[in-house]
Amino acid sequence: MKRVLTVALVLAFFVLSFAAEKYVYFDENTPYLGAKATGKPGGTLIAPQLGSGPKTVNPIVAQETSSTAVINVFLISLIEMDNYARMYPALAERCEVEVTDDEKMIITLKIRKGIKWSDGAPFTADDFVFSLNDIYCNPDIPNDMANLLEDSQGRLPVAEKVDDYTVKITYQEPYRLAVRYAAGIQILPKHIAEPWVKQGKFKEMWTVDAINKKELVGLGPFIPVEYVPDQFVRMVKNPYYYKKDANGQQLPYLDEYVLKIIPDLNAIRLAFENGEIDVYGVTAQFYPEIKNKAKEKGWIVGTGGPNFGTTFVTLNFNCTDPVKRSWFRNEFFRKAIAYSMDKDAMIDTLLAGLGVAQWGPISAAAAAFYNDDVLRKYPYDLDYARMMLQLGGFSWDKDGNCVDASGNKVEFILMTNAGNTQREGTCNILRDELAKLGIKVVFTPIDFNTLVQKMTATGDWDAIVIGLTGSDEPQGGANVWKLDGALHFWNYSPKVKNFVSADIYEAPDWEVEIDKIFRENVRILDQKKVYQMFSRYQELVSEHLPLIYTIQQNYLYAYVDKLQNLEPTAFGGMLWNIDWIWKK
Amino acid sequence: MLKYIGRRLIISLPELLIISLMIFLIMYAAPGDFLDQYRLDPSVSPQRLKAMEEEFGLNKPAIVQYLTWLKNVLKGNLGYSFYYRRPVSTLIWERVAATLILSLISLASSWILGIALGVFTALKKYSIGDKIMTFLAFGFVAIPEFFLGLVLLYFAAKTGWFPISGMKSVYYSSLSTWERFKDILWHLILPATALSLGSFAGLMRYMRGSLLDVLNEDYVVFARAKGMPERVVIFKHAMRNAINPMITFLGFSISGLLGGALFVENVFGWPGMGRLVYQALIQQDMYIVMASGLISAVLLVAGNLVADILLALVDPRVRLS
Amino acid sequence: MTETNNNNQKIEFEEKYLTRGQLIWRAFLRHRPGVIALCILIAMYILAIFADFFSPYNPIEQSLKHTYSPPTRIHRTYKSVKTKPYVLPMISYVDKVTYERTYKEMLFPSKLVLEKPDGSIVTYELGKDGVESFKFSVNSIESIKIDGQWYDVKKSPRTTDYFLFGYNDETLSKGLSRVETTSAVAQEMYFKSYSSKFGLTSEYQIEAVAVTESLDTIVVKKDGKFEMLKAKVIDYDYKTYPVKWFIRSWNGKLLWLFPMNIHLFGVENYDNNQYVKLFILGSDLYGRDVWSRIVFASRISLSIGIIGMIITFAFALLFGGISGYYGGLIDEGLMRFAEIIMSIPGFYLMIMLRAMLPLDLPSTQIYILLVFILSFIGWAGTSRVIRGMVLSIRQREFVEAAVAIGLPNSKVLARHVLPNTATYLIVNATLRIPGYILGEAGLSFLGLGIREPYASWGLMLAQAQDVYIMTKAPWLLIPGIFIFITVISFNFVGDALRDALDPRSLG
Repeated sequence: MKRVLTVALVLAFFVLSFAAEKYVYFDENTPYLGAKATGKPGGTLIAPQLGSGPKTVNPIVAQETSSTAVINVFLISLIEMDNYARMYPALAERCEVEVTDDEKMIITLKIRKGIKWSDGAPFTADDFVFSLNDIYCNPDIPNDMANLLEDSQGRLPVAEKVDDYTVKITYQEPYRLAVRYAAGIQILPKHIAEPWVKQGKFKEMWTVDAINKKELVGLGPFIPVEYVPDQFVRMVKNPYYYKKDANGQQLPYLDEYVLKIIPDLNAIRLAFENGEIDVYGVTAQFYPEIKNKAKEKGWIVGTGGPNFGTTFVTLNFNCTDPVKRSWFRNEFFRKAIAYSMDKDAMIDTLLAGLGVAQWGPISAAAAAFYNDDVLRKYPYDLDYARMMLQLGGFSWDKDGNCVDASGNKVEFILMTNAGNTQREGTCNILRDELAKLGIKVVFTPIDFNTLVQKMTATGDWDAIVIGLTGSDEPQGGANVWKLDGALHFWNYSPKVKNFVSADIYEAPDWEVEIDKIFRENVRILDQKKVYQMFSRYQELVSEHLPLIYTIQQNYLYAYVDKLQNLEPTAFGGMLWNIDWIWKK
Repeated sequence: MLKYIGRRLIISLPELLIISLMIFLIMYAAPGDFLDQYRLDPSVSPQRLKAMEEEFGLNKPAIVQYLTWLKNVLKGNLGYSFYYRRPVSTLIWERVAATLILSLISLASSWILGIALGVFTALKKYSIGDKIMTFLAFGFVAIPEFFLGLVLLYFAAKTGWFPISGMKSVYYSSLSTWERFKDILWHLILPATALSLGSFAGLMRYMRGSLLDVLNEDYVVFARAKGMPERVVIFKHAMRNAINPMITFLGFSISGLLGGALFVENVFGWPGMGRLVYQALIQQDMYIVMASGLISAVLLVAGNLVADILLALVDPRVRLS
Repeated sequence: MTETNNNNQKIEFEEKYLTRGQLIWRAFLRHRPGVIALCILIAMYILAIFADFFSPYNPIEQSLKHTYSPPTRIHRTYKSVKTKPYVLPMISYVDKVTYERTYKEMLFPSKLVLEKPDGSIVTYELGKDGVESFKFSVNSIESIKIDGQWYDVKKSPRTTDYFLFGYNDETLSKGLSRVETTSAVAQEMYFKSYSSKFGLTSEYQIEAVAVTESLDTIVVKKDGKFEMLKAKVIDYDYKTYPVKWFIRSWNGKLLWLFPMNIHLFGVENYDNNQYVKLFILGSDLYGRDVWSRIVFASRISLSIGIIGMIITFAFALLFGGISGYYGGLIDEGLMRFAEIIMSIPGFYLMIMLRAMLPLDLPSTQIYILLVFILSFIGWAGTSRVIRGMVLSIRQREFVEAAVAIGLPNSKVLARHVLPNTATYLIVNATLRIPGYILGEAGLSFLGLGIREPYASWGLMLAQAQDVYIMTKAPWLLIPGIFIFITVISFNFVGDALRDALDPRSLG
């Protein structure tokens, strides 16, 4: 219900917006998130961090959640997202977008007055302009954000200071994601970062050593002050944080926020049961047990919708073996595989019933773009699968082996990265089902690095089960879906990877159409049109199945009932509003 | 003797060089590199990957990479970790204390337990006590360390007697010295138990076996016949001859002191070297792997040297040339 | 007095007329635990060699309807009358009310005695009078309890051909069954669906959830035609599947060669019911028979240790023996070489090898390779220990005597020096075997070991290391018991052998 509402809201929002050339995203009357919260100050929240600790606290260098989990708490931006990926004002109190007559896009942002960095220095437009121009858009500092900031022609935005509290960002053409990305950069303190940038050593700024040296300065609710390697990161409240609650109480409520690093999933569960941590992202198979203990132990345990991200089977269109290549490029063959996937059984077996089937490239969690109606679905039916094979020119020999039109036995290698139980399980179940169709699959789990090498460096693979992370914004998959994308692994263009020979390369019409969608949508500001474009994309992918999607676990959470104000969702997780969570 | 030590030390230099080159070459020949973990992430741009390749020198020929590393090592610099962007030496240094605490405690307890029970079971051969210990020992040998850890962890969670994870509690920095000591000790018990249980069994069986061998020797029989007290016979005569294989083991144990114990560290969240090195292995964070390989090689050479010297001192028949 | 005398004469006789081998064998037989252990080991190897015969199921056959089935219950009574052993069909599923994995035995009616509305009584029995099948249509009503009051929230008719014992079997016997649960997950799920309808604010307001099922009609297929009956069930029989020895089922290969479909035991599945299984040790995540998997896995696990050990010892004795015996520069050179071998990063070595080998390499070849890798890395440590012992042994009188009488060095080393390391080697072997069995599982992670769907004990145990399995499916830890039994048997045999080889115990 909530999801439908969100879509409606987002749509209404944008349809209204671009009717006029100038649109106010939000103004001084829009309250920031948490302005209506109530609670009592004090307390410590301890959250687990699976795996290892932060590698760095420099936002440019950081690439893994263990680092960003810390950085996101002390570095914030002009805008912020709530738990349903809706945009809200944060450090900026007003955001206006204007498309000029010469098709330039100008974003004007007004910054709240009187905000201070955690070291007491004032926060002004200079900090933002410096962060955008000299860090994120600095060609000497290659970073992932730059890729998102570019418009469709690869041009970067330019920020200008109008006065101490007003900045102007200029794009050379309308860019749909401009506000989200350009205003969404994590702002760094100019007075600290500038010398590093000038010396060309910005990437060496703020290694994890900086935490214990108390060098970190931020605008966020908590500032990391202690890091014990592979043990925990301790963050204390920022006395200068800009938010106040409904009663004028300074936020955040919590005194301390601790990330405890625990390398093992079993141990996380036991630590939660033992009261060592306050929140726990429940593993599906443990869910009923944890939920049934909840009342007695004083926990709040629940399920959200499906998670972001996708898991799929991919077949190598440019397989070196011409026979296999012809199967994998055969759409009926791919459809046969889709029909032979018993997703309900997979969900029950691998996710303890707490998951959903995926049919297209956008997870249902990305509510604003997910369109269930356009998706072609392939319910489990081996007879349908056999029919598809027949339509694709396959038949069966007298021993029941599936053979192609030229009489070759259908046999291929299915790989996945070893150690991922869900993917291994998917392969195992699929292997068994395909055996019933007379297709012999050799299943080989292999270490992740070797798998990546095969996919991206040698092209020497048949079929792989792997997953991609996703977000609420489909454009995040541009690298995957553009024909020359660096992750277009099933059908790399010879221009991108030299292991694909130009003689065998083919880009089917529908791939070209998808490519076009990803190139053009960013120039279109009308959200309704974008929605239609991405609907078409979902339709094309589910119809032609370059990737055959599998299943996705639901978001599951548990936390102690002493914690208040939590509103967990798959997008925000449990601690998206850490600044107004409080502890009884 | 000094001459022997000197010779060994001199030989060890080219040996370490060969070992480091070998580690490097094998790692280089293995498929993939550090950047693989980012290659399948849609949010990492190709430009960024290219820049990192440049930055880390991964695009240079193998020999250049190795020589650069060697030059730095000779200058006392073990290199930078790609992943942490910090010097490898600090990363390792941060974990030395935790690794040593765990390995020394479990080493000591497993040796004491192993030798004591080994002597006991040898003297009481085929008694009920011997049989029970045999069964226990093989029980622990047949259980994977990780699983033993998991069982202990489950026990801790059910009883609430021990902390589940980590070496220090979150409030460690606000505790007094005595409380800090107690805190670490409290966290140490389970992982140390898991490690010692896993390794005492082997030592016990070796000790039992080699003591049984010498107990039948003529000089022991003779010493007994002379009417020497049993204690003296066992510890003065028999033990000196029976301890031979144990000393060689001791040498190996020394080389493992800084290696860490991956499975136990993982289950108990102990911040030791095992986790750091394993992650580096998986990710091909080259200089951490090189450094840890070098450190364990140095310790291995040193441990073996110590063992050889001890062997000459303890076993009356062994002479070193 | 005479007895002692007799004894002495006997010993004299035996020493004169028995060969050394016979003497050792006699000494060995005196060691009771050793003999028992040897028998166990022989039994294990027989199990491994004739794995196809001892496995009631194909070890890689999946059945997603039997995920984590506990060991199948073998019934000996039917309706409280003693009968031949049989099993019931069974199913393991995720209950969509409580989201718990549930395991139930199934009731497939085979005979129905019905009272029709007009009072007449008819009997239908499968296979008699042309009765082919039964089908039941059932009304299922889900209801929730709020403030002590029950409200029906969902009605759904469905058809079925079976019922579940202990769940809805009363639908058949009494016409009505009811299952109530206070599961918190059920509360949550029903709260999500019906909170707005009932104006609920907390999941805990739903005090309980119940599923009530009532029998609506019975459809009997008779002579190819369907008869629909609304009747009361007075009595019924259900299908049972007898457990038998020497039964024909899946096609295996005796000794890897000869096709064969007779298996030691199994269940007679006369109507090919997919739910009928006999899992004497339960089943795993994919519903595969743990017993059959253990039996097949023993082929790997029982040989990997032995072969690995032999290769290791061959290297270790050669290098350790030579270097300890000759000493000096040879010792120095060989031991430094051993140190270098010990410093090889095994992890990368294996990844490298993996990359050089084709991906679809058959399991057997991978297996052989595996043994070599494991032993290649493993010999260096052992060789150092042997060298240390040889350093000491070579100084002893009997060695010096052997050298003095002019025996060649190789003979002295092989005949007089190395045999004295036997105790160490035996202990080492018994400790090394579990190391290989467990260590092999680690290689599977690199795509080098035995890989799914095939199994080894180490791999099975590695996959079972999870709190969920420890608490909910502990039978998956049974491979650990097999490892334990194997190792301890090897140990006792080793002990007995050691005693038997000791010259003092021969006479």
